[in-house]
Amino acid sequence: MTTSSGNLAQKAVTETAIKIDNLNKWYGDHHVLKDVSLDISEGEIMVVCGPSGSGKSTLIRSLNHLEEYQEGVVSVFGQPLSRDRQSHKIIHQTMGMVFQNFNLFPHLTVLQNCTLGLTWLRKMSERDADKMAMRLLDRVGIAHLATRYPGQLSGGQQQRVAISRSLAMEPKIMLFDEPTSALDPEMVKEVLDVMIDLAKTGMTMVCVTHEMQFARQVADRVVFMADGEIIEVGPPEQVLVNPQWDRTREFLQHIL
Amino acid sequence: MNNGALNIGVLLGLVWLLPLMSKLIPLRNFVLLSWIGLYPFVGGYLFLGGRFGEELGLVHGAMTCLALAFLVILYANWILSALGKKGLNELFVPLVSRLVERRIHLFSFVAVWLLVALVIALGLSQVSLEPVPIERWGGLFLTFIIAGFAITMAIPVGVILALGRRSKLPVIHWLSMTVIELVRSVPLITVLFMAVTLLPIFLPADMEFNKLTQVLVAVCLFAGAYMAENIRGGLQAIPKGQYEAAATLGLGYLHTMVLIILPQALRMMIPNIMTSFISLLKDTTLVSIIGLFDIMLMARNIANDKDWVGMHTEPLVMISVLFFILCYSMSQYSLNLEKRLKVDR
Repeated sequence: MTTSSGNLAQKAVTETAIKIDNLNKWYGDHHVLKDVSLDISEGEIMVVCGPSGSGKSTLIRSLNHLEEYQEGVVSVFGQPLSRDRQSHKIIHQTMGMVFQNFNLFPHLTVLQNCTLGLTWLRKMSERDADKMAMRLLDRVGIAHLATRYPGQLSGGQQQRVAISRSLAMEPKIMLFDEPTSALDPEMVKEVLDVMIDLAKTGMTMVCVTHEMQFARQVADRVVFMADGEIIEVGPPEQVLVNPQWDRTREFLQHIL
Repeated sequence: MNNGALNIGVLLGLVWLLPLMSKLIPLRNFVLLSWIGLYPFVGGYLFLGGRFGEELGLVHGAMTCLALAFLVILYANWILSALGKKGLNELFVPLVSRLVERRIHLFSFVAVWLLVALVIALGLSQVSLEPVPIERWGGLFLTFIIAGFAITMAIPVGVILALGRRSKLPVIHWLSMTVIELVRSVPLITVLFMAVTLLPIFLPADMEFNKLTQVLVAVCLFAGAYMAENIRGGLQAIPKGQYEAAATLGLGYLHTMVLIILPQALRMMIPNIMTSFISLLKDTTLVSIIGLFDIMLMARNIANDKDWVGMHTEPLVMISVLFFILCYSMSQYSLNLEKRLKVDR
């Protein structure tokens, strides 16, 4: 069961946002992604879970070319991506990413972190960029911290800044690479709340996460990966509550 | 007259940097860049003297006028903004907005700049300064010129070499690495000697630089190579996540480096960079060996003067005190800078 064609049929009305076709990746001899194929529809919330070392981070990082892969094709809105300029442009125009370690720019204020792309790439005037960034910061509830530097913020606040920074570039797809794994437990919720709000707006989201509660609440489909393979794909109630495969059951027992 | 021009030249250099302290001036990075890019023309004119169109070449003359015009606009804007009015560069906005649709403010600024430069050019063509050949430059002034040039050029040259060394393109990588390793493994004195004696042999016969230019190039290369390794150390300390975050935002190589990586790397390396600057300032005394009359050679010649025969200790003590004051204030400044920048984090 590598793809779930049943679910696709339900979503046939909407466009395919990302189509992953037989992705293969090796680190030397180590086969980290084995024939991974997956379709993600527009507006779909896809949660990727699995034990560490299962290749889920590598998969999500392959989507926006932070990792190279040796075989297979990733298409975004019907456009197959390669390593050329055109593909890079498509990636940057459609995808935003949030990292485990936030990766905010420490020498810039919160506001500057958000406006950087707008003023330098979109050539937006400073005033318009500030206005737009402030709106986004307000949405994630940290507009009052706009003039602080990332080092002065808590982890949860930093991750919310990172989300607004990505959203400022108006992506169609948001990739989350373990956004809450580096956070203290009491800060996880504030980030997840922002993500849930975002999910409600109809954003296409791919989230690598261990937060099963979040998966159950908002995910349209859950992907379970182990050893570089997709073991199971399906709606959360199926994969998380009633898994078909032993490997999934074993993992869920550990995590819940 | 000569001394007057010299003093004005040094003063102008300081005056140019003064607006950096005010928060009223927008784009203060550009003021600093203009100091590096434009001030040398004014300084050169005032130090060298000469008449417009004769000793002073056309390009140099034009650049001097542009530089002075920039300074005038800078100060006018400072005063105007303190009074709460619009800057001088906005003067032509209504006119320009009729002619072009985009970049109105840029065109208006250029128009005002050229106009002011023209007025200054008309004024300058009436003045004539007594020409001073470079060979007659000497003393502390020469030390400052060489050290100042080396210090301002070290960072740009160092950044280019450091980025070149990290480049994935083999030609650029090997070229930068060769320059860095070659220059670093040779003492400064030999670099200076080579610049003065060997360089003219390789250059075409009709191309002749004066000794100071050759020395400046050599010192600049030397400082750049050392700075490159400092900066490379800073670059390596930047986590990979910063590059990835910049890439996912869509920033290209140049944007990533200039906006994200270099500001952090340079900030991290301030103590090392300042150490390099201090040793550079002290190293400039070596130019006395190849016969440039800097403060060191001046001091030694005092002892040969018939009125001051045998005065060896006093000038050297004086120079030591002078260098201590300079170097100590530089290191204090770097501590201060570090403290100020740490507040941000």
